Amino acid sequence: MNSPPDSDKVLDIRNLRVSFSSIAGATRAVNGVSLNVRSGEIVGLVGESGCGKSVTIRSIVGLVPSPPALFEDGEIWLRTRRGMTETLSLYKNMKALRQIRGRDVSMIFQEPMRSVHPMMTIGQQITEGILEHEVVDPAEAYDRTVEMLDLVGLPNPPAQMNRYAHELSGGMRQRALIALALVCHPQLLLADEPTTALDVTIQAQILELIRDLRERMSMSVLLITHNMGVVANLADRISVMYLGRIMETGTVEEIFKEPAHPYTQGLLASMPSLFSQPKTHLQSLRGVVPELAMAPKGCVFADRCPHVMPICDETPPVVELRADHSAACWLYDDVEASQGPDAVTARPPHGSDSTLGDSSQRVEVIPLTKTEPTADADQKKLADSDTDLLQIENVALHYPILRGLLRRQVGTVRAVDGVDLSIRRGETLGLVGESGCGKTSVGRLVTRLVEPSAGRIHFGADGRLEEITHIPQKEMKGVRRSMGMVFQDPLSSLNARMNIRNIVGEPLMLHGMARGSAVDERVGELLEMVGLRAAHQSRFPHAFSGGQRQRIAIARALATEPSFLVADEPVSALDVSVQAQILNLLLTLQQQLNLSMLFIAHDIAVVRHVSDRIAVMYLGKIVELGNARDICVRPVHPYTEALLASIPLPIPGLATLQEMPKGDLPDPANPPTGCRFHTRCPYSQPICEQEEPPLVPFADAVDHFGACHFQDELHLQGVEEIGEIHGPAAAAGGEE
Amino acid sequence: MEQNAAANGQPPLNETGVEERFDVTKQVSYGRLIYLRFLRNHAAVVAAFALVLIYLITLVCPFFAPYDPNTRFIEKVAHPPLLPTFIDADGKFHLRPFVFGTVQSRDPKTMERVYTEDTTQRFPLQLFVRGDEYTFLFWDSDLHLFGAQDSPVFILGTDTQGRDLFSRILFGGRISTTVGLIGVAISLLLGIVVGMASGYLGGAVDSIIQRGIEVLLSFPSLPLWMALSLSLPRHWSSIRIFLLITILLSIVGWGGLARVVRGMTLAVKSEEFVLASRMGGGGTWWILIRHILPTNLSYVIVAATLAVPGIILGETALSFLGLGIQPPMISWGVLLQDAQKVSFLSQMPWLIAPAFFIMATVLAFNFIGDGLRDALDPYSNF
Amino acid sequence: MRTYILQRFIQMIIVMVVVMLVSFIIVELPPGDFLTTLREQLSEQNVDPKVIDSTVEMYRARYGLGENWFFRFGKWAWSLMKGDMGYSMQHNRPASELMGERLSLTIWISIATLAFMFVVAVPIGMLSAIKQYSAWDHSFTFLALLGVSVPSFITALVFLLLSVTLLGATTVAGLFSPEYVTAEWSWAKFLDMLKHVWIILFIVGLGDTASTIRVMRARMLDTLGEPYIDTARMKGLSGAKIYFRHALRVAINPIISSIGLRFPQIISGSTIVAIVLTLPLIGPLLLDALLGEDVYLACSILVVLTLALVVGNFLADLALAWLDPRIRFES
Repeated sequence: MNSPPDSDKVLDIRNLRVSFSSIAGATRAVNGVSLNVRSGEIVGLVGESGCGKSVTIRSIVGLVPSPPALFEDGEIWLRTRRGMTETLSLYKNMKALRQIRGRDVSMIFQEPMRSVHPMMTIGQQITEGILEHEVVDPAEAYDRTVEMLDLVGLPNPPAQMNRYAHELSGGMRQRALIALALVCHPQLLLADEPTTALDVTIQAQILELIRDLRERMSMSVLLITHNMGVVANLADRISVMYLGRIMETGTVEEIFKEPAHPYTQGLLASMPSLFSQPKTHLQSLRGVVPELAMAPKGCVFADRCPHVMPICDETPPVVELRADHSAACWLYDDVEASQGPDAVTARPPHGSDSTLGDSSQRVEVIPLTKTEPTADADQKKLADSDTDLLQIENVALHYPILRGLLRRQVGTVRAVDGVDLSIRRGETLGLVGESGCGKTSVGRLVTRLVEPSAGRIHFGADGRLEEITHIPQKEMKGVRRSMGMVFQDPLSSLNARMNIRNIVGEPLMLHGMARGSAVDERVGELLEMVGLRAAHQSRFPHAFSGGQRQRIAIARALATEPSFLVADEPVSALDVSVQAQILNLLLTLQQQLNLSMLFIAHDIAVVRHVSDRIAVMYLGKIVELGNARDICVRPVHPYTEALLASIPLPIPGLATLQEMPKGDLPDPANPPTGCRFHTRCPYSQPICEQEEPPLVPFADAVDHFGACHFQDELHLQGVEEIGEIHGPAAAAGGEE
Repeated sequence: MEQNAAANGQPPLNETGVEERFDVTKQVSYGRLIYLRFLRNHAAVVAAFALVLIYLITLVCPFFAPYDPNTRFIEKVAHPPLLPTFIDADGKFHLRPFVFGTVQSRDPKTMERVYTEDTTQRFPLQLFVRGDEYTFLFWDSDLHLFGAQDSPVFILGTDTQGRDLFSRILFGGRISTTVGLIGVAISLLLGIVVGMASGYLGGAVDSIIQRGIEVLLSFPSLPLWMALSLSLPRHWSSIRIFLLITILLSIVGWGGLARVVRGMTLAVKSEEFVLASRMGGGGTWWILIRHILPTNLSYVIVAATLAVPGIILGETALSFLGLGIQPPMISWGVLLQDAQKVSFLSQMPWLIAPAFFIMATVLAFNFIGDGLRDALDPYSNF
Repeated sequence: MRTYILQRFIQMIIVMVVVMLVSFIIVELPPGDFLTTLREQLSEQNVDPKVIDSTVEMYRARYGLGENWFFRFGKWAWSLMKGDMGYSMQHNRPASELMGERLSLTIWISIATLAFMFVVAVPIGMLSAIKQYSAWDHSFTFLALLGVSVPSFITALVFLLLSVTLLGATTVAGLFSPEYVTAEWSWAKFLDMLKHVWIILFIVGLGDTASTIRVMRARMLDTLGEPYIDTARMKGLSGAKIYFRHALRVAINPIISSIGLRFPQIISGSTIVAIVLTLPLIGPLLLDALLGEDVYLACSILVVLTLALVVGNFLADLALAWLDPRIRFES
């Protein structure tokens, strides 16, 4: 295997093994990874956090510090201007490696906010790269930089040359970094989670840019991401990685239509898509991603696999299912032996499980109730809906911007600017929007964690709505007994100094609901309820994984048996497979306890999955409000349409909108006049700049509101229309 | 592989399958985790032992010191250190260490005192000897850890008045190390109260406090201390002067601690677990005491550990200049006063010995503070 | 940028006023009637009673003694601002005359110490970070901790001891060779001072140099872990370019902004070192004033030193703003 690969390949990684030594001992982060990228191809490397994908991609260019890393085995062949070069052997020869970096292969990183040097201008940083590799005079380097900035779509390139990182938004920084990476025309671009830190509409723009540049600059891309949706619309081929090993490799169509490895199947099934049955259990992988040192021997997925067999204690072979599709799984082992690779379909030979490999049933739908939502249930819901649990009227949250020594007010951030909402009993209202739109503030306003600048809040746990806008904190404490809240970051939402008993039992003690051993008992019950062991209450938060911590946070939120739960981005910090578990848990608990819920998230697919109704927020305003289904099928506000189109769906070949929203989110301290979306709206008309559209009922629908001047004229694209056109996945999981 | 077997052999707990896979280190409390991490830092552990020893010895100094600090040996003025040895003039080894006797004479030219060893006289060292009487707490005794019969033992020599330097260093250490602790305690109290108020209340209160601390920190501390020491009435008893000096040192030193506490309070205030506690019904005081104080405490302890040296050095410097502790009270700084004069130092270089005790103490505090800081990160890998 | 400077400037003025106020309170703190003390002291010195009367009267007028404190503070502050440092009762001379070149020498030595600290600490700290866990790193990490723990007056004492015992010196090494001590300033005198001054810089600056090494190392390590360093690496830049052009300019910022906190410590250090080594700096004068209860002289010294610091702080802020675009462009 020491010979260079065929010239068709830009990158060929063979059997790479990388381990890290630490005080705890050595752990192998990358364990026999083989991967290649051909000319002009986009390859996606997908996996959950800690699976070793970053180490793999960084090994290509020698960005893994060694020590502590130890490169035990393997070869990395890279096509360079000097022919095929093995880069691992270049680690000793930094000069040769440096000549490759930036010229033959480039890289963009996960955090654009921190990847641009804060004290050098954009121009300096990009020209520096050119001057490093080529003998050109500074004027030419300048011109080429301007040209490149134009190519990546930064407005007014000459002006950008003199700007600093802090003057650019995240999306613009990522564009600048792409320009920086491509200015020497490398043949391969490595993209390490390039859109993870960005808002969905910006993510869509950047993905589109990468797709476009691949054509224009005829380069190859190796993209790593944890988001199956991102690769579906971008990659030609995909490799799925788990705990340092490649589980499955195939073309994007094969991976999505006929996933072979149980892990891939599990990942796909656990993503709430825009076509799954709302409010149903997602099929989730059990357990959590173990720490590397704790990985099972043999097949590393064995302990979470639904098809685990005794033989899984041994390392599975990589089975060639088709020409371009292979999986490392024992399920397919004897097939290869008896029939040869050509005859294999991605169907498991043992017929052991009907869900496996059967694409039509892949997205498993387990309705929570046996019965279909019947008239009976509808009636109950209607009766419930007579009584609102929470109403907010024209609520606003304004922060003064204070400057200078005398703290003069020089402006106002309108985080929330006049919002009306109501939540009915037993209902889940989803609140969706991009970062900075004020959705988190709404969650904190309704619980009075922040004080509203204007408006009124009514809440009634026992049937009668009472105004709680200005009641003193002492009374508010009583009201909060009926409220619970789950936060985004499971790390910071639990006090590391307190054990689980005191964390979960704190509200009980504060409200005098239990004392002494009664607390232990109740905390035990709560832990069992969220799927943890009662005996764990003496442990401390650091002993639990992210998903488990989020369960603890849910147990705490439900300790006082509230009737209302605010869930603020409860799953966005979690791995995909764990995300599904938490969503399932929330759905189960909501039904068991008849909770009303305000579910806040940036991902409209997640929101749609758990909500009865959805409110879409943009720059402190509600722009659309309606039933979850209506909003997704027939959005009435262009922003909702854009949000729906921006969600990368795990369906390859999906057409995107002709026109995506332009530019970045405006500054909330200085929102645009008229319709706040007009600066980015593809359908913008002169009137949008002047008049602010009110939130009014949409023509032919009950209970569906929009805030667009042209909502009755525009016919915006929803998801079902896309879904019907595309593929069995949509049909299988979509609405009946 | 043991963990693997456990993982495979154990049925999942429920449908969502939360499993049991913890290593031992994860089952312990946060405090214990810090302790375990601290133990891994050998320098810090050694420093901790050294510090405990220093405090123990200086606390019970009358016992460890062979003499009363004010006992004068008139015939042994400016006596050089006399180290115990095992081997006598004939090269014979003795199991019990001893000191030689010394004879004083005068250098005929310079008229300086010269002590010569009289190797015919051997005075074996003894443990638990009777000597100067003292009162420790409420307990009268005359027992000392070591000494020799018929001859004084000066392991660090004597000063210009014939007092045993080693004994004086131990007694001086009692004052110097105590100043550090009391001073930091006062600084801490001020720092925690002001820092937490500043961080938690925010707004105008915060601005005013912060500007105040900035002014405080922009004074050069030593000249400020010197100037402030002017306000101490000279005729006061030495114990009152001692207390006032300590207060004075901490009044200048609390600003840094207050900043640390404020920073932590700000960071913690925005943590989601504080919001969660408010959701659960926690009021301001509850949150401050149950959440913010414990979270801050470990960092405050580090900052306090690192602040002790500053205060010890402040006292030493002031006393050294004659502006701090006043004789007959002794501190390390007071002892070093003698070393300030070049003529003394050239004849009696051992007078600098207190400096090494100061350095050892300060170094120990710094090592411990460093070790604690490294051990503190709650989510760092074990 | 302009608003930033203005803000800092206003802040500086406010700090100055508060510093003067605090110093004034210190002057007022000592118990007993100041004029009585003065009268006693002067008569102890066998001064002509007429002179005593006129001196006391002069003080009464100058400091408005007997008026309310606000008035007195105004008078005192006003005379300070006019450059009148007060009058030493001990020496019976204007304080400014006594301070003379001691003050400027002190400030220059402090600045030189600061420069020494930068020149020594930044490269060592940087190299320690680049070669993390190497023998170099370990030894300097240890030495730095040691250096942090040794106060400057002890370093000075040890130095004194060494020069006395090893070199057999009978007098202390000062700033100048004996023949230049009383000489007028000249090029030769300056050169002579350069020969002596480095050891002073070392003694005064050791502690701060050591702690700056620690800060520099930690900041450099943080900076090298930043994603934009990866970006720089991926351009194919050499190590030197990455360290100097990309990492150093970010890592050094906190060191520059900490000048405001270092400078007071260096002044403190130089004060006590000057006392130990009897250098012609302000320290011995201050001690002298304090021991002789020469209140106004002592406080004038304190105020002048602190004001020098405040101005230095302001200059450091300006330097930082000039270096860091994030501050420069803050509206």
